[in-house]
Amino acid sequence: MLEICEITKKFGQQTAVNKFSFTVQPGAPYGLLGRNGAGKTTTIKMILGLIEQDSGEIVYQGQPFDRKKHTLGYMPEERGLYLDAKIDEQLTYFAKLEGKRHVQKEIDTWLERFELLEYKHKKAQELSKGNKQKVQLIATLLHDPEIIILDEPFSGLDPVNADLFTKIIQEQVQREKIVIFSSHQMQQVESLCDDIAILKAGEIKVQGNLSAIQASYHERFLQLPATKEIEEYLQQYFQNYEKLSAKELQLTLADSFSAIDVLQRLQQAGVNVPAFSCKQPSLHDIFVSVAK
Amino acid sequence: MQRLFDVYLFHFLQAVKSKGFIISSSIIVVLLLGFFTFSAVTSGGSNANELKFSVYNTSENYQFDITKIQTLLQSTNSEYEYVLVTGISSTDIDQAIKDGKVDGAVYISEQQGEPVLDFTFENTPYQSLVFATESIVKDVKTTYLASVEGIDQNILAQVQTPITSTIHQVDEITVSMTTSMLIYVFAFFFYIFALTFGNLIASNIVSEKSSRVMEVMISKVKPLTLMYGKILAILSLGIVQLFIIGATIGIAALTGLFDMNSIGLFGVPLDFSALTPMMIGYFIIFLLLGFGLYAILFAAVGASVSKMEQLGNATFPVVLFAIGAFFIGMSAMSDPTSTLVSVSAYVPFFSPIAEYARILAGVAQPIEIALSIAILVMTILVVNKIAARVYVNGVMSYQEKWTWKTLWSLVRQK
Repeated sequence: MLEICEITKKFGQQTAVNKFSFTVQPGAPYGLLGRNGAGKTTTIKMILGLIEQDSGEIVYQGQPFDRKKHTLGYMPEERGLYLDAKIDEQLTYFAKLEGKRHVQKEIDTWLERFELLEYKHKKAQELSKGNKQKVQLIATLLHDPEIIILDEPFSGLDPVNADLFTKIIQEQVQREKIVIFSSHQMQQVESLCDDIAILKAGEIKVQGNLSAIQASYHERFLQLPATKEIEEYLQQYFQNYEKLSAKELQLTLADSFSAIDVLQRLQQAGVNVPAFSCKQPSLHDIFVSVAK
Repeated sequence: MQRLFDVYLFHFLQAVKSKGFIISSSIIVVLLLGFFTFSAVTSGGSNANELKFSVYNTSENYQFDITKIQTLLQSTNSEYEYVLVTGISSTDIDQAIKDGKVDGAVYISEQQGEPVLDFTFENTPYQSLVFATESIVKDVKTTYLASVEGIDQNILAQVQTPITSTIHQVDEITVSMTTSMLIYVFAFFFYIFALTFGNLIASNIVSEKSSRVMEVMISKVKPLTLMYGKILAILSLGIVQLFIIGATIGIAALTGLFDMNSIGLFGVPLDFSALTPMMIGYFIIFLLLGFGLYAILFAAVGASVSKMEQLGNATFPVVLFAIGAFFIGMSAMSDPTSTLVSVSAYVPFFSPIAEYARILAGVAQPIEIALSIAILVMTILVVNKIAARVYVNGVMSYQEKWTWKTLWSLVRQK
């Protein structure tokens, strides 16, 4: 178990992260969300020991986290490879620095899985952006680390590769690894993470179990067909609706109004409602409302 | 230690296999072999220490043993070997000079009873040949006139006896041309080595930063391990290039393209046999310590920069130090005891050249050498501490614009 206890980091007068605490259990990935500059990368860098926290503590398996004693795989937001070095050479080098030697077999296995075997002896500069990202993920996982930290792993990936990345991360989760990742891709976070934290300007805005957060969120949505009479009624009595498409309207429900209340009022007003659906807030909805 | 070795080995192998290194080494080999071949062809097999000359004497009254010129030349300057070439007719002498068979010729004739000397050279006259011939012909003329005028031979002998003169030097320091050239070679070598490979370290770090691979690296290995691994790798690269140059010279010597005894610079022979084992030892010490100091500075400055185009501006002061050291070396060629050189011998950025020049000239006392080395080592330790801070802070810092403030803030950052 990795415990982050009230870590704080200031850069001059600006507080990048303020008393942030969370716990990551093996096999339960933790999602760090927030807009650019929210403090996600600073938090990750403190865990990696790249920058020192001003206060707070990072504990792993009951002991202060010592980077030297544990293997860690880190995929930074800014991708980087040695452009003039061949893929197999730099993967071997990265693994060696994590204390793992003789990794040729593992390299072949990973490259084959990512359909990159033909690039094994090619220089990184000859690879496309997506392929470089795959090599980066291989470098992160090649030495079979205990802790995996992925900063924006899905950015710039096409849907096929994003699915492949998701699948590989899920496998690591199943192997009871400690996984932390930050992402703007809410769909991936929703499908992978049990627990999340949404940061804004270094402060925690929302934190906890994703399902519980979604269940407790005060906003609900009622989706209705975009007929003329429904739209006219909503325009007259409810302002907080939006037209999702030419055929669909979405009404945001406040705590005081349930979907049944709205439907009853529509019926009483003689408005025909041929179909409706209720929707729980997605992580995207929560993120937008919290982080904006 | 294992990580340092891993970093060193990766960067060393990458550098050795890089196109830049292969191309530059190939150019050096081709240029050296081309230069030796060209020299061998154009000199007709002559060596730089040899001066070949011919003498033609058609005068009636001023005949003398022409080997006297050779003997006089040899006695005045032992650094050259003077060879009297015979068997070339006076009409062919211009062509013989052009072909490099002879370096100079003198034609002695007589007009209205007076000796006339006519010298021929390819371009720059060999003044030593002019002076020696004039001196001997003047003596021959005096002897001839004395015999005509019936002057007593004893009186003539007294007239011709050279005046005894002794030169006293208060400082008793004489820098031979050979030593000057050795100082020049070392100063130039150090300057090129420090700048070329120092810049390579800095650009290597900037490229690691700009390609963002640094972000991956510093999560795996300590920044200082990275810095030292890289410095050692580039130093090794420099040594490999030296071996390539040495091997090329060796091959040229074995194949007869190049004569080790005839190596010279600006017409002055380079006598490496003058280097004692101790001098070679000091050469290695000053080269390694000097390069170490410059390499650490280049690494720190490189780490403070985010883009390759900012590098020239940032490394400029370090380059200025190296240029300064080189010019102090130039100054030491003529006077290794000057105040400038003596003071510079204790200034760490200049001492690798200044103090070593003094060692080559034989003016540095053991205690002075020890003090110079001690100051250099102490400075490296201090600079290393500051540079380490700049490096650690710099590798994580990406600035759009580089200013001196950027560097200063990295020094101050904890």
